[in-house]
Amino acid sequence: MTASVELAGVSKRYQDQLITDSIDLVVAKGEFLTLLGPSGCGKTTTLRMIGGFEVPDEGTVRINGEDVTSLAPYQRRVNTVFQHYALFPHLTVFENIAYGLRRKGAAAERIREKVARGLDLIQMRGMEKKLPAQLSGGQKQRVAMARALACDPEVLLLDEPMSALDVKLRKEMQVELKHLQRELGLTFIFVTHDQEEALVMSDRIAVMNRGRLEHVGSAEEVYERPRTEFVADFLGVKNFFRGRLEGVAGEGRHRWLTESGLTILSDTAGSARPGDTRQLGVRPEKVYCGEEMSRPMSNQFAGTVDDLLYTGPTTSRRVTLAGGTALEALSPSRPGALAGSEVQVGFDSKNVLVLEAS
Amino acid sequence: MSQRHSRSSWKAALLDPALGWLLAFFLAPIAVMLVISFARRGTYGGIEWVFGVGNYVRALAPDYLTIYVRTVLMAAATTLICLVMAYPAAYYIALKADPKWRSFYLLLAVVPFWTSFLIRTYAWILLLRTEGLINTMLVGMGLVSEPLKLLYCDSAVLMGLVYGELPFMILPLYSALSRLDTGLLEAAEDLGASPAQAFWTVTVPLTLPGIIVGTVFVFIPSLGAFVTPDLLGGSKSIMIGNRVQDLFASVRDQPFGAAISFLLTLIVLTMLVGAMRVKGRTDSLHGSTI
Amino acid sequence: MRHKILAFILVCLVVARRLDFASPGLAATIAWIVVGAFACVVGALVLARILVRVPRWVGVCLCALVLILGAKSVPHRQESKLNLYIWSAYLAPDTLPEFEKRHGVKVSFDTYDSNEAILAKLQAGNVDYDLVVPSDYMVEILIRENLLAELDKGALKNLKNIDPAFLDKPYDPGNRYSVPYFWGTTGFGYRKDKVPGVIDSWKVLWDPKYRDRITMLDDMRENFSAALHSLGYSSNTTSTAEIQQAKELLMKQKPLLKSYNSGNFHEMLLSGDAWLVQGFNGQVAKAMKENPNIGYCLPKEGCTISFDNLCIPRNAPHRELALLFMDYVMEAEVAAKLVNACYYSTPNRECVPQVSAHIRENSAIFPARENLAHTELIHDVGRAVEAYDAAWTEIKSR
Repeated sequence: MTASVELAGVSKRYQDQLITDSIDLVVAKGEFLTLLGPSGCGKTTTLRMIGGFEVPDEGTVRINGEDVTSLAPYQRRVNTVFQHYALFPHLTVFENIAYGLRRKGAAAERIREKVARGLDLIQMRGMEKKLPAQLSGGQKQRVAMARALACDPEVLLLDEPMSALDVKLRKEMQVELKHLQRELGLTFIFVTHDQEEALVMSDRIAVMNRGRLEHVGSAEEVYERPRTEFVADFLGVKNFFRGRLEGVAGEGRHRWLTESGLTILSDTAGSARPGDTRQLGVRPEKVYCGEEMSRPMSNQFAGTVDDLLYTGPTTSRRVTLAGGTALEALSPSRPGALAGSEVQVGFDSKNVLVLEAS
Repeated sequence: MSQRHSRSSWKAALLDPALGWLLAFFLAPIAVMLVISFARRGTYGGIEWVFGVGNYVRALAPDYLTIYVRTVLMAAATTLICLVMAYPAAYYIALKADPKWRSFYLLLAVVPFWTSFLIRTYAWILLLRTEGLINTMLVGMGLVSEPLKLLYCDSAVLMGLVYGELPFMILPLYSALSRLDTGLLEAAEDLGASPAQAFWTVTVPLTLPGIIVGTVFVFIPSLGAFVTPDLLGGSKSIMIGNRVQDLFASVRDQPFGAAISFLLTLIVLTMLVGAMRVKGRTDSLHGSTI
Repeated sequence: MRHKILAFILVCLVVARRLDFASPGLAATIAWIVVGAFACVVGALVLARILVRVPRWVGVCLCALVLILGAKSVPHRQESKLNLYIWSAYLAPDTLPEFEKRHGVKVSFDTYDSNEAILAKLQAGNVDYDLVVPSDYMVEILIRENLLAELDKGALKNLKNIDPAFLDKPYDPGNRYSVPYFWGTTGFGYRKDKVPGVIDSWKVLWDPKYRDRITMLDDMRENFSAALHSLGYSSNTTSTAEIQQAKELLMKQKPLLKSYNSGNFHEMLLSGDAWLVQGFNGQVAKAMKENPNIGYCLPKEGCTISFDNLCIPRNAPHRELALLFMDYVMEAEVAAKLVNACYYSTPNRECVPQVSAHIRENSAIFPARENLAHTELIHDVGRAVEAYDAAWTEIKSR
């Protein structure tokens, strides 16, 4: 696997504020990488530095091994699908898609061919005469896509391209986009703040926080084994405990004592040594409640259900334990413990995440 | 007039203040002018109500054609120079200047209007004349051996017109440029357009409505100018406005003056309709109006 | 909507420009006041309707109200007050205060800068001037248009002070309607230090040596007057052939000209921008006072002489007062003060001893009588003006 995009120690400041802090990232050819993070985390700035709209204060940007740090956008074989599409309002769909080709001075015949292929790709044949103002949100997004792809970029950058679409359309487009990427075998760098979107589409996810990469890994890895508390929190871990590693329990398990006096067993201890404190996390869907617990669990407590939230397919219960600790349990909606009832809650030691500080 | 108007009764016409306005200030004067333009000059300067097209035949004499051509060329040159000068200024104010200073810069463009145009024109005379400031300085510094002919020539008229009309170009261009989505320029650059290409393929087409409005604002008053050619041109190569002024004020040939005025109004109206058409089309493309 | 408003404003701008041209002959001041008020209210209404949707009847009522008020508010000045309509810089500082003191009345005055303004105002008929000061040819037109009142000579005791040589001119035989106030000539001023030799002829204004140092008045008749006189013709010729010859001459002169200038030719003479300027004796005389190197020439071929005359409009509200004022300015002492202040030539022979010596000795203001032998009044040439105008257009269009 060769590197398509390579960031080495890339930092960017705005008036003393560090927007990105020494980012190192290698994106392989044909990979779908997502920069995920809350707004203001530096993900868009990172994308803009790859696109050439921002020049890093430190570090280098390489594309296909070539140092492009100080090249202007039009000198890079990288194209962007902008957040609000930035379609040229005075040009037709055809001319929008042909824009990049015309700038390169392509022959009319070739332009027609490429635009036709682009229109096929986005299934918008017959719409070439329309103006952007006459298109729906989804169509605009596709035209923006075709316009960027018509230039045969090495890398396609996508800056929250779905944020203006409604939920249903967004879901469809996610799948479509992923298929397109596979078909074309292009490197995609995708920016979003929507973890679900990131999980659905990405080969790898780079979670960013305050200008730094917190965790880079496959979707599964980032979801199942988040490295830090921030990543865990961002990807939906709801139950956190601050615990001290007491020592080893039976069957290779580690024993933690939380501040509220619970004893929790985990399969791993990460880098912690006995006596160290760590943040522990458990996903709500890994917490079983009452009758769902078909077998005894390695971590099992008695508590009271004091809140119940029904969302359709799933039901979330908040259970308060003896020491005052609250646990959230998420389970498929089925008749179960009602609010106020006393229940047993539990989770397996293998599902206990040991998190590094952010 | 739209179909709605032609179908509605006379009452509606009386009841619509906008229509009343149009009637009182636009159609009525033009109608009066049109009627007079077919009359004849009385022997001693009055209006003799004998109708004919003689005035229009006279208005198309070769001497007048020369004046029309010069007037149109002058106005066109003024418009072009204003456009070339105003675009960078408006671009800077709208897109590059510190937003804090934006209104200040705009104010600067308008400040000259606080002084009477006549006074400002006389100030130019003081600067440009043979024994004026500029020539005295040039001769004093030994840059030229004898004073340059800066005043009382076509270039002086052109300069005066450009000076007077420039703000009318800057303001609509500013208005158009300040609404330009700079994201589109990034998109163009992203797609391989150099900054110059992005300017010509995105900025210019998208600010076309502003360019059209500015052109109209500058071209039309330039077409009717008579003070500037009189004072800065020494009345030597006159524009059509001078002729109209002469015909009304000193020759007292009101019918002929009205005929020329009407022809001028006709040209201007045709242009306006054309400009509005083009602008309307571009507006609908951009979904924007000025 | 914004688009429409803008288009509308634009159209109005254009119309405003056109109205500039149309107004001198067509518009009466009062009409414009009414129309102006109407415009403001209707404009505001249109805006208001756009902004807040005022019901139609409100608009109609307001329009009607404005029209009624506008019609009612046509001003009628009826106090005992003399309204003077006169050229600017045509009065001495104490001319009016003295008269007001003597007769216990108020005098107000408006100024104009062209004879055509008087004609337009009097034709419009809505003004109440008691006294106007038109030039000779305009007196002729005003008489013909029946706009002047006949003078009661019995009330003008000081008429005897006027030199008979300046009375009974063809524009008003027997001075039934007018008495001369000032007179003047149109020769040319020159810089003695730049233009050497004996200067007594129009020919020097055609001398290529002085290319770009010559100005002519921006006035069709005065240009032709200079050219026709140098050709030995009358400046009031109606002969197409003579007009054509004059045109050729003026065309030949045009490349030598710095500019056509009626406004500040005397200042150009003073600054040295121009050395030979066709102009009125009064302004040149003022320049001569400032710079002794400036001279004034009454060309030997002849030139224009003109009279500005006191006249009473037919519908003047205060004729008696107007006659009093006329008589008053013909008093020797008052007339002398006028000359001392204004630097124009006076037809009043009795005032001459009281005029300042330096003015009396100024040949531009008090030329030798024999030099006036070839001067000629400008008359309205009737239909021939079209031939002049065509020739003038041809000159100006080149």
